[in-house]
Amino acid sequence: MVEVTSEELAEDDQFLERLVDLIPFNVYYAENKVQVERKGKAVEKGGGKTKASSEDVDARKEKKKKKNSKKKKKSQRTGGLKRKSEGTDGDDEEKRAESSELRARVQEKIAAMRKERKADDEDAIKRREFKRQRNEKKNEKKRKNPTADDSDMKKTSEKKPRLEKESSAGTGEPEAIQKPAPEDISFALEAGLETGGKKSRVHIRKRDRLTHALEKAEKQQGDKSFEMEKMIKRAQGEKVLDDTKLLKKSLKSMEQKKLRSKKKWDQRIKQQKKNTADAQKKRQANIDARKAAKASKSKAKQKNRKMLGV
Amino acid sequence: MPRKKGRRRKRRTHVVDGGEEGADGGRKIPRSFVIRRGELPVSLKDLVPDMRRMFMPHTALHLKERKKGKMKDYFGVAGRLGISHFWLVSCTERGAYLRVGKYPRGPTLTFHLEGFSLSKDVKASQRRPISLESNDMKEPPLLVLNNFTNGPDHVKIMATVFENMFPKLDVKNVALSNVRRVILVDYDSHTETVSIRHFLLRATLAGLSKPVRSIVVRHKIPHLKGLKDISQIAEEGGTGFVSSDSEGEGPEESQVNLPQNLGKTKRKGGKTTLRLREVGPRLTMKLVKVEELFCEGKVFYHAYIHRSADEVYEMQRRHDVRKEEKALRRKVQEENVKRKQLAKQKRKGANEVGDNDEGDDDDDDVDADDVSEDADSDVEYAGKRKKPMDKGKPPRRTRTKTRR
Repeated sequence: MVEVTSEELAEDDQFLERLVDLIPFNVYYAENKVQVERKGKAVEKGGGKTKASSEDVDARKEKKKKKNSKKKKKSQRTGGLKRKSEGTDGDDEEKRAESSELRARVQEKIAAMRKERKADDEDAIKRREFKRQRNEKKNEKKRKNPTADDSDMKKTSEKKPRLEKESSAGTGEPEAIQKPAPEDISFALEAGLETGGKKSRVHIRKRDRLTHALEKAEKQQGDKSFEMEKMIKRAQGEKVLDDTKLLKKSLKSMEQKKLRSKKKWDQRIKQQKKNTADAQKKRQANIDARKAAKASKSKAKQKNRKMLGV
Repeated sequence: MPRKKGRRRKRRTHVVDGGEEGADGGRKIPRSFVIRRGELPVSLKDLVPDMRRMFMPHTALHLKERKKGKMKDYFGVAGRLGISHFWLVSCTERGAYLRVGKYPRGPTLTFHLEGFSLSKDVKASQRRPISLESNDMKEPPLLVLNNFTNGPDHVKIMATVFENMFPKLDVKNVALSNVRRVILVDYDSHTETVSIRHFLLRATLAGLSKPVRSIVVRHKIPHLKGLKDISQIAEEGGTGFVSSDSEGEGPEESQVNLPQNLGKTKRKGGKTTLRLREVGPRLTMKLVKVEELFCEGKVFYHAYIHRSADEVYEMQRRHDVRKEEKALRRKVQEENVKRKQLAKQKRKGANEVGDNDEGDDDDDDVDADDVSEDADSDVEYAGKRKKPMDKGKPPRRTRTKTRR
């Protein structure tokens, strides 16, 4: 038999008590059983008796009780009357009941809100799933391409900018200039890699683009709500096609251009045909002339022959 | 013209200027014109070349401005040359104004120039003035905006316009030796003034003592007269290495380890001090007005005139009414023109057949109709107003008698 001294016991007791203090209260007083995965085995903890020694649990409970009772003020050591205001103090049973009540109320509220916003609808579930997947993909991409983020320095100046130093060296202005905060400084730098390469860009014909823009512009003719966005886009160099008059003009000029070029082409074809026809005519004329010449020559020859009596 | 063996050789074949519009609107290089508008005092006249130097290389340094020059002349070439921004300097009794406009339909910022300094004055005030070299103007400057984030709308627009005036630097691929100038645009939110400063960015080797530096950087041959050993050059005046609190090195923040090579002496990883040496003009200006289009269009923001919603509505309504009237008038005129043409054709046809008399009467009637419509309307007509022709008299052009 091993002899154990009282001091050792006291030490163990303290140790155990400290261990118990580490465990959060709700784990072993939870009404809803908390599933704790431990080495592949799902061990239910909380509420009634656990698979682990129930003695320990009771011991822990007692210790907790002792502690709490010590904390109680003298005036509050009532028999069994529960006071609402001192909800934190009081018996464990009451505590548990209260907390479970609160929890139930919270659950009710959450359920009601979810119902209101139809969170358990089929569509909502699908949307959530879709969003989650999209975020996952995004994070994956980010993990794979860290460089793409680094070059995006347009607004962030977390790297301390080297040019933050004021020009006091050159101008002779007083040195009491406040150094600007890094967040206020922005540089005109390329905002990272462009999304999509050359092949991913679909080439839309200019005419189609203009006609779509015209339709849209006509619908939004009296709309004054997007001025700021339009201005910013224009300032950034993007074309905002919203003037119907100019769009119509552009479309018309495109059509005119086509007409003109068609005209030119027709003329060219006509001219070509004429040229070939003329050449053929000339050729034919030459041939005929030669034929005629030949015929007259042979006739003359025959005549001569007759005359000479050959 | 590059000539080789007497023949001219092409060198810049198929150099694409950012290409035409792509799916993202294209990345064209922004180019600007700085133009004087109207009569300017001499100091303002001299400001314009300084500003052009600031915006080089994507601006016309020696732009020929004629006295009778009109804006439409510039617009005629702006498309061809890819001009995206116009800086118009003008002067009134109230003061000097600077209009920065994104061409062709971009926003226009009107600034009141509260103060400016020419680059020659800046240089005159410096102890060691520095001038722009041709190399400096071959590369676009680095733009630094201060205090433009998190502002009201008009400040955001200002920031966007300034940012897109210069080509963006590709952080990954830029060569450090090409970043030679810095333009600092500072916004003071209390006084709402914008200050523009122009600096040259120079990197000098750090950690050298004066004698060593004069050899390495300035290539000066030292005097070896009284010295017994060559190492005494470096030892002159004490230790050869510079202590951290030596003068002329600049504060710690301006010392940088170079990520690239920058010439023979400044190598990658080496410590250098970056200095901003001011050159070029100083502009201090206050935003007066932001207009939607290029020098026209709705006024998005005005620093001094604030209109209530009712006034804005009223103005918009008047504008719309005027527009409608114009459109209507144009339509009516077109119809009249068509009608006249038809009548003319008919008359021609009739003439060929043999009727000479009726033509004149018809003509008369048509004109009278036109006139009555115009005269009845209350609208002011700044166009071609036809004089009413008297009905009874024959028109002048068909004069039967010829003068001798």
